[in-house]
Amino acid sequence: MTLAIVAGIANLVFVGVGTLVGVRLLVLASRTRELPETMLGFSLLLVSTLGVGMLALAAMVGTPEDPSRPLAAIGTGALAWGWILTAEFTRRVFRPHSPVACVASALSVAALAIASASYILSVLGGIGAVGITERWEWVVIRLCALGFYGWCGIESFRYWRMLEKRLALGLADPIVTNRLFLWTAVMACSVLNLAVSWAATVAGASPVLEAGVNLLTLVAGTTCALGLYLAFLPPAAFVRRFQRAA
Amino acid sequence: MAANDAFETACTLLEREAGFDRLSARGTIRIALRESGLEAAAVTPQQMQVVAQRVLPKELAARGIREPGPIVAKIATQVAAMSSAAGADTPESVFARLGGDGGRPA
Repeated sequence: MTLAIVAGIANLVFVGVGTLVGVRLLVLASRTRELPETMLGFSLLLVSTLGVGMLALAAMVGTPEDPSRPLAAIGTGALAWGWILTAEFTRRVFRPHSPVACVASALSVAALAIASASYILSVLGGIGAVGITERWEWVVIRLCALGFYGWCGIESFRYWRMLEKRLALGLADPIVTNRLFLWTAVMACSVLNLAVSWAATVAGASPVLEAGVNLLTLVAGTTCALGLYLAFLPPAAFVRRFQRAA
Repeated sequence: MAANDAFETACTLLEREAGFDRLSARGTIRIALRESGLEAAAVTPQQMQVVAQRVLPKELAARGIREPGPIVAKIATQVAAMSSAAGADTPESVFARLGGDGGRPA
């Protein structure tokens, strides 16, 4: 029970930090008029504020059969669009000229958009005899989300390794190199969080499993929040540490 | 000037100065770039100069060049003289901007 409360608080912290960072990136985008900060800002607001926030609220106010349904639908739609923006951010930033990335991203974005629309309609209209987790839409949404975060994590990890090598030659900025590392950690923890919650839902409820899920949610949620904060809202002391190293 | 002009210039100079064939010269420069965390398609003249001075001597020595000094000095001098065009966004410049560093890679 205590672990569940702490994991819930970690989720709340993630929602708070995600919202702050999302707003900050959109303020930056209003100045620069560049797409990456616009996409990432909206993506964070959709995933953390609306998505996680609404689903948490839906879970608090009732069961899938009652008035929490619209909240769950809004949450799912927000998550899907947030994940779509994450995929497009990854493609534009890391693979802007790759036709393969362009086609793969477009196909998976289309699959996610169709699946999430169908899922939302099902949630609003009543799931019926088939359980939520047995629906094809639910599987497609989860697979796309895992794929998008996994792809983003792999790309940022690869680029972070490259910057580490450049750093040794004085060809990279230490704080930007660290930012790529933090973003990799955020993506890795997002994959972990999604995979664990999926596995737990499929496996069914048990006290031991629930404790493990809460523990992993706590670790992943806290790491995500800390990573986002240090990467995109770095405190002055943290920045100075890297300036001294440069 | 396209970013990979620096790569092409370095390859041509290496081919001429070290007596390498085209394939070997390009392969050697590519390996030196990979060791430095850079890509041939996006390397700038300034980055190529540092790679020529700091990484290429070791690669040339490994390929039987006894005195790589004059060769790498020539490559470094020539690529340093090239002008670097303001290129498109790189992941590095995007992440610099996202953290409020103004998008200036080191």
